[in-house]
Order: sequence, then C-alpha cells, then structure tokens
Amino acid sequence: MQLKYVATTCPFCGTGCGLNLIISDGGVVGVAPYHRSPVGTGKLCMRGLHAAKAVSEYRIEVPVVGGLPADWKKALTEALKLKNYSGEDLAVYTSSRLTNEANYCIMRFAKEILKAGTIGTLVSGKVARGNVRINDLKKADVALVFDDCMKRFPLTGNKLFYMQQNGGKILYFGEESYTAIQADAKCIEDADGKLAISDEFKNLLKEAKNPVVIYSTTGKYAELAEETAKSCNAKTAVLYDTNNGRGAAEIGYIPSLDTLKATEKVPKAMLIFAETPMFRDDIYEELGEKLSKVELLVVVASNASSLTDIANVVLPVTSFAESEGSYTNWEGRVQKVSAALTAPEGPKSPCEIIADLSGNAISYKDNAAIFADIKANIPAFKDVSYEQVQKADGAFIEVI
Amino acid sequence: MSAKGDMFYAWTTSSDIKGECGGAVTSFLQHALANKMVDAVLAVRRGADLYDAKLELITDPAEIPKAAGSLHCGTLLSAKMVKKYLNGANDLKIAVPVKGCDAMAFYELAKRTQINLDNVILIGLNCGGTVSPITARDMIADKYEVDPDSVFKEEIDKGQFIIDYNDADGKHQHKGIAIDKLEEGPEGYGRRMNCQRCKCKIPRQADLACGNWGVFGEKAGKATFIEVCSEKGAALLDSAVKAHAVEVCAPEPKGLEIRGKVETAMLKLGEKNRTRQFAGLGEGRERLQKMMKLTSRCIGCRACIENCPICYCVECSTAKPQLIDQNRVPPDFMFHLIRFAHIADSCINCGQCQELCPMDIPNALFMHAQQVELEKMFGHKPGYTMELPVLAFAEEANERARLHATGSDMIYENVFGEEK
Repeated sequence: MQLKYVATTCPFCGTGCGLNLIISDGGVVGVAPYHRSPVGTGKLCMRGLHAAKAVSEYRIEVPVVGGLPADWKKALTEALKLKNYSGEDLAVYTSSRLTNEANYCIMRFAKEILKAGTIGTLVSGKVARGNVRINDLKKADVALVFDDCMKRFPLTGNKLFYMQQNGGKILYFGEESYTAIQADAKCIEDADGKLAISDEFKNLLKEAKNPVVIYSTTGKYAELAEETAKSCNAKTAVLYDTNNGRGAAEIGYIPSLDTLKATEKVPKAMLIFAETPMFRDDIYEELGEKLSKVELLVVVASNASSLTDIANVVLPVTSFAESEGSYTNWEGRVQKVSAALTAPEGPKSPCEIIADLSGNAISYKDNAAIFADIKANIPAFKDVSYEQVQKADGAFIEVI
Repeated sequence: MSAKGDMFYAWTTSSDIKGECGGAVTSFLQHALANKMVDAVLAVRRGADLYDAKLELITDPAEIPKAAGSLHCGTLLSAKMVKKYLNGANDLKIAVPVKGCDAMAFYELAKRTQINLDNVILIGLNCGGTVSPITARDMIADKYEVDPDSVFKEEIDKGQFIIDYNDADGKHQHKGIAIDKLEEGPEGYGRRMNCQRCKCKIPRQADLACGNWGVFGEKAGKATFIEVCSEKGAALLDSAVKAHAVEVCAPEPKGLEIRGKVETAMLKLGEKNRTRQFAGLGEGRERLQKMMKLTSRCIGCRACIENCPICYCVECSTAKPQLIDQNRVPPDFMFHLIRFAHIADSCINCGQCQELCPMDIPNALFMHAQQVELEKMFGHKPGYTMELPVLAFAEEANERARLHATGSDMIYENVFGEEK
C-alpha cells in the first residue's frame, strides 16, 4: 500500500491554487490541501477538491486514424498532411490548460512549420492584463467587482473578505448574484441592461487610496470594467477562467472560441490540442456540426470527447497529472506543475508530439531548456527565474 | 515491564536519528516498523520547505529518520486520510504520530466504525498549537522583520514562537515573540484560532504520550518525556527497550512538577481564549444573526464536510434536494443548521472546516461554541473515550421501527402523543 502527496497547481481557474494530489499504488486517488500555496493557503473550491476525478475517465491510449486504432508512425504521417494546407485554410487551436512549455512548443510549430493562418485557444473572452497581485486585494480599500467573480473565482474572491475585515468596501456591478450578496453596495443591472457606472461608485473609486477593479476576461462587462478602472485611476485584477489562460495569452494565443462559433467559413484543416482535463461540459459539443465540415481534423487529446469522435486523426497525449511544467495564473505568477503519475504506455507529452511532428526541428532536452527559450523570446518572461518557479511561491512575470 | 500510567525519560540509541529532544518518537516508529508490529508508519514529512508538511506512508524503516519531527506549520489532520485512503486501517497495521486533534479524530472515527483502532498505534505528541504556513510567513516578515526563507528552525517554547535564521551576513540568529502578543493583534497572526482554544495539549488518548514538557536536569534537551497511556503503548515501549532501540530512566520529580505547571498554564490559556472568542460571537439572537451573515459566504463546495473527522455519511443530508436546494448559492441557512444538528455534539475543534473553507467562514468557531454548551448539558466529551455521541442515544433504528408500526406518518403526533 502506498500513500504519498505530490504538490502541484490546479488547472481549473486562473487563480491557480496549489493542491496535493494523493497518489496510492500508481493512481491519483484524491486531493489533499496544500497549505503552503501562496495563492490558496490550502483552501480549494469544488473544482480543486475534485481534481483527482479529472484525471482518469475515458482515457485515450493509442493513436486513432479514421476511427481505427493505428500506430504512431501511421498517425503522424496522416497528421502531417496538415502541411498540405496553409494560411487561412489552416488553424491551430490549443488548450489554455496546457503548460507554458507545451503551449510555447505548439506555438512555434504552428508559426514556424505549419504557418497557420489562425493560432488561438478555444476559450471566449479577450486578452487583458491586470496590475495587482492576489494578496494585495486584501489591502485594497475599495474594490469594484463586475459579474459574479467572487463565486466564479472563490480563492480570489475570498481575499475580499479580508479586505472587508480591514474596513474596505466591496462595490458590485452586474446581475443579482452571490457577489451581490457579499457586496457593501451594489448596482444591479435592470431589465434594460443598464450599462453605466453610477457617479457614486466612480467617486468612491477616485477618492480611495487603493482602489481596484476586478473583472474576468469572459465577463459581460469586461470593456466597461476596463474603462472604469482607467477613468478612476484604479488598479485592475483581470481574471482568467482557465489556468493557464494568462500564460497562453502571453505566449501569443488569441481567445478564438467566439470567432469560430460566429464564422461561416471554417478552415479546411485544423490541429486542436484538446482541453485536459475537461472542464464542466464537453465544450466541443456545440462546435460539432461546424468541425465535422473540416477536411482534415487532427486532435491531440488525453480523453475521449465529442471532438475525438469526429477527428480524422487522434494523437494520445499525457494528461494534466502526467506532465510537468508551469502555469501562469491571472496575477502573472508562474507556478510549478508536477507530474504525479507516469503516463500509460501509449500517450506522449505535448512537447514530444511537437518534436515528432516537426521532425525534431522543435525539440528540447528538458523543460528547463524550453523555459530558457521562453525567457529569450517572450518579453513578459524575460526576468523569470526557472529555479524560483520550482519553489513554493513561484515567480512573477513582468514587475508590476 | 511498564504499565499504563507509568512515566519515563526516553532517548534513542541510534546515531542515525537526529530527532528533537532525544529522538525517542522516531525510534519508537522505526522499532515498530522494523519488528513488524506495524506494516507502515503514516508520518509527516517536510515538503517544499520548512513551512510545508505533507503526509506520507512509510514502509521502509530506514526512511523513518527522514520524517519531520515537529513542524508547527503542519496543520493537517491525519485521521480522515486513514479513513478515506487507507481503508480505515481495516487491513493494514499502522503507527501514526498524532497531535491532540488527530488523536481525538481517530477516536471519533473509530467509534463510528470508520477506523479500526486495533490496527493503529497512536504515538501522541504534545502540541502547543500550530500556525498555518502562509500566516507564519507573513508574521515572520511583518513582526520579526525577517525573510521567511532565511528561517531554518521554528519552535513554540515557554509561551513564545521562536525562529532560528541566518541574517544578511550569514550569522545564526534567534528571535522569539510571546504568542499572546502575536495573537492579540488584528492581523490574525499566531496559532490557528482553534489551536488557541484547544485543551488537549498532552494527547493521553494515544498509546504513548510523548514530548519535552517535564524533561529536567541533565536529560533536558536530550530525552523525551513518555507517558504510557495504554497496554499497547506499554508493549511498544517494553519491546523498544528490550531491543535497545531506546533507553529509559525515571523522570526527575522536579520535572513532573514542571510538566504539571506547563500543562496547567496551557489549559488556562485555552480557557481564556475560549471565553474571549465565544464572547466575540455575542449571545442569543445576535449570535444567530452573526452566524447567518457569515455563513451567507458559503458557496456549497462541501470542503467542510470533506475534511470533517465526524462526517462520514455516504448520503449526506445536506446533499438531499428535498432539504437543500442544490443549485442555490449561497445555500440556504438550513445547510449549516443540518451540520450543526448532526455533528456539533461531537466537534473536537480540529479546525479543518474553518482552515479549509475557501470563503473563510469561521465554521469551527461556530461548531465548537455549540459543542461546549452541549457538553455542559449532556456531559458528553468527544474525542477522549469510546463513549458514543449524544445523538447515538436516540436508538434511531428502534425509533423508526416504532414509528413505522403506528401506521401513520404524523411524526409529531407519534412522538409527542398529541391527541387528534
């Protein structure tokens, strides 16, 4: 019998709480608090508490070509037919829950080798960068929260309770919600969808010493929040629905789900690195009709979904608990992701798959080497120390 | 031969063990494992740094000396992990070093048949309280004005939280601040709130109660004070002595006196903190309103239930849609009322429901405040004996059968015999 903890970072929301995966006889059996997490202090919401369950269901262990099991050689050959397409005919979508290292390799492949016309993540929202750190929220005196951010990002939201305890005030703008209940003053969107911030709120922000505006990149009021913060000279906490949404944005991915949903013209070929682990429902289900029109759909996935059902080629990849690297949370803190499990025989890591697809043109000896390349090429990462990322507190991109 | 109630000074004979205060605990664990008295030891090990404690099941005796000793930032609770991930020790013999709250949790889960205590050797460790890691780091930076990463040792001794660290010139420094000073402030520094209220400082529920309180004279700092608390404990001690894994001598009379004084002082402080913290909740309607306001932060994540050593029901009432609307956030106050009604009689004040609540609801404070009142009313003290909780006296199965036999579903009428 075995029981051991492996500390890692939660993949679900952009808060990026630390958690311990409990390993027993080769499998992840549960989650234990990681009190040393500078973000979550051991606390987890329902998603983190059940992160163990995200690991095991409907695992894909061998490559699939045309619906039939295939060996890697055949699958890679089929997948490389992507090179027959280029520009607008070719799109590469990645998951904003992959590590910085994986997404960097995928970005290089998409740009340098495939020269894809679209390179994005299959999430909604926009790219935006906040300029406040999570624990500084406790020291704010006025916080204007848009949408139901306290519920959607519990371990970010709870910092506002400390702020309230210190005498700070929570202002809220949005629909009736959990956050509205916690707020000291609220402005509820009426039936006409009122979109103006009251002068009272603006004045409170302007007069505050440490005002902060909190919103999510996928929030209904993201634009309004940004404008309000600017006009009131408030700092911003910009929250991402996924860990590693901020990292993917820094590496250059554009959130593309809404565009893809809206477009009539679907690219002829696509390479999709699927979500791992899956989040809530199967996000690909509503894209199914559209994606089935794609001539060549290559999907890299750890678990079966409606997406792998319609793919021409499926390449099995290591899952969240089997790959190591780093995530960048919404505040720009780069934190270590540990491999708690050895992958089954078949799947390869995203970086190995890119090495194979690129004929070793994009290949690194280890994660440290990838990180060195990220530092050299992605401006936000230039001062991040790889050694510091390995430590419990992580390291911050760009100095705020 | 030793017997329950005996007290000794004990120290290791092994040069590999660098345990604090004589290393006897490490020796006991290693001896039990090496001699197949247990299959494994569930120990606390240092994780990322001094502030990170993690549980690990150790089966190789040579690994035991690497286990942590005491980490005051180890706020974890081991009993629920044994229930959840080691099948309640039903098919595995283990030795576990335990703080007071761990020991109490083992008892409460055992009396609910969730842990088989026959298969568990509990090595009790005196505990003056624990400090959450991030609180400790913030406190060291703020109150000690020391870089938390430069600290290499921390301890709680003589009412102080003491750190040893290297200063900017690499010189070894030592700094202590009185715990009550740290805990007075508005920042929430010091030990966890439940530790401040704790009155289980020497866990005599364990098989052996071990610690440094009462080690006096030439053995000071070189031996561990051992109190034998069960036959199982006596057998382990005797076996370890016989195998020359540890050596023992009788405690100094002056040491016994000091031990009594330390414990009494700790208990007094615990009582004082209870009075202060419970008073902060107010009384009557005010207390209820405070509880309703703070529990409205709840997001229904169930972390409190997951981590509670009393909760073990497969079908939790709070998950039943006929009682609680499962889609409403925050859930109705009934969610919390169900928890209070079901477990407050058995709350051992381990603090997990509060420390791990993502929304920082002072759950343990609410629950413990009720437990102490229930104890006054019914005389039931959870965590110290195998006596069943207050609710167990309802004989639920019999009561249900009796109600069923009446052929009516009018519970009020059946229970209270009201005339139609």
